Amino acid sequence: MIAAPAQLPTIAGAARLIETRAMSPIELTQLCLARIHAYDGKLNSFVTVTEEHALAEARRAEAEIAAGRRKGPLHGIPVGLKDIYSTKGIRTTAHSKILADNLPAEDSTVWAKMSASGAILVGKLSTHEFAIGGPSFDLPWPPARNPWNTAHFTGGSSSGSGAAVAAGLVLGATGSDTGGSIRHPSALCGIAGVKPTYGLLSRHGIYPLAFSLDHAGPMAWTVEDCAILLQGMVGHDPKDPASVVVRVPDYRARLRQDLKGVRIGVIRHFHEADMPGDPEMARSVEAAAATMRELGAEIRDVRLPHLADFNACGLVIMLSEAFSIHAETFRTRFHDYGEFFRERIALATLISGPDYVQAMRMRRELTAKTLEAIKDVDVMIAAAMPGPAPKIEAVEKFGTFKRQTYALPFNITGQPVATVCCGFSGSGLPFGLQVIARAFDDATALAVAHAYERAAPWRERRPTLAS
Amino acid sequence: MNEPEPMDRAEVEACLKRAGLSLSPAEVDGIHQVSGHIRAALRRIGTAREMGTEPAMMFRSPES
Repeated sequence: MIAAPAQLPTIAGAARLIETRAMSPIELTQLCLARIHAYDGKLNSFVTVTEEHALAEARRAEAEIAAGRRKGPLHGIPVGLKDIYSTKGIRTTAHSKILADNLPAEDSTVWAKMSASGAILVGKLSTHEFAIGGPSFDLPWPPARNPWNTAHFTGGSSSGSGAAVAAGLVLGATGSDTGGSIRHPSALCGIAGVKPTYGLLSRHGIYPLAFSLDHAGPMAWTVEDCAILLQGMVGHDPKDPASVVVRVPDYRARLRQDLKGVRIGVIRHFHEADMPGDPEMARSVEAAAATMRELGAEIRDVRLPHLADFNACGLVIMLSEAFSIHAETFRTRFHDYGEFFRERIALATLISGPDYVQAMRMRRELTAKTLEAIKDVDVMIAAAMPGPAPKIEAVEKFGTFKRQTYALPFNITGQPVATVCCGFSGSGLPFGLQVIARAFDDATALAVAHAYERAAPWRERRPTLAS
Repeated sequence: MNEPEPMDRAEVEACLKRAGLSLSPAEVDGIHQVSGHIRAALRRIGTAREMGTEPAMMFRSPES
């Protein structure tokens, strides 16, 4: 019997091992590749594994570190990219037949920054088609499956990123989030994920879904690892019209062990009244709030506009902007898209120009009301998903439009959100919690999520994988 | 969950045609059936608003 490959360390742990020469980037990359070969056959988290490229990069990292030129904690760390992030000369498909042979001429800005920090690309990760059309079984690659139970959905659209990180096939990954696409798979796969403030990370070279709602961001096993990844991704980019010039703090240095003096508002009405969630999930949110109180936080209720207002506004904006991107190709290649993508986006034809403008005006009202609600607290917390991951076959084509999401409000406002595991269902599937901060106070969202994560027992569990 | 009443099917077909899309009858059926959710969203956002909610596009003056 062949021994199963060892579990991966966290990014923070691997960085220490690499710095002290207790582990080499080559050994770490080989371990990732061994785990991908052993386990991804049942998870489908990768579209493309870049094995030779990864090993060449690992050898280069090892030589640089041996020569005393270590760049920082990402140097020699194997990661995966959601397959909407362009990678020069490496196939970037958006999980779609439309781009099945697409070889980008340049790297996305975020990957260029991560690569310059020494991160190693081990592969391109599954996504819902063009970050919204999934989970689909009619695409050139199968949908990713949840490592905690492969009969279940990963959440999306950064589905492969959630699965690969939770299964320990990579130490970190990138995602994108237009209506919850980092936070949903982070919650359902039991990992940490960050949707930063809108404009903090460049989207240049990342295939867009809806430009005014799209955010790039990191996903990893821990919040500390997300902080390390975010540091390697951040920075102004004139190639992205939304990219801002802003002072960037040391996110990892701002993490904290306690929450003394932190004022936390709990958004209960989302999951208790506006769209009631699973009682087990609701209890996990209450337990997380209690843990935060024990860490020194002051807990109070906050109330935002009704979830249905955020979702109506976001739906109209997202569909309109997405259709504007695909309209031309839709006329000529409609049936080359998967069924879920093409029929979901075709709904945009029912929306008029004035409807879109009204939604953008409503967005300003909703944002103003949300900023007013956070005025007297430092962060807000909310459920990330209404319950544990459903069976993958149970995900409806139009389910997204029939039910409200707890995540979309913060794409509308653009605020930073860190998502962290906050417990498990009786069936062993994870729940997630959103920690929402003020715009450009991403460090506080990370700090609160990290303090909670360290105090809670959830990082001691890992999914049991079948090879 | 109560399904909202769909839009008029002829209206759905006209919207798809105006966008230049050729869908099968089954695809039109699917979009028609879920169209009530889009109409519900549009009703939710379609209220009177103050001028201050205009989505502004502006240059920033060098002094600001």
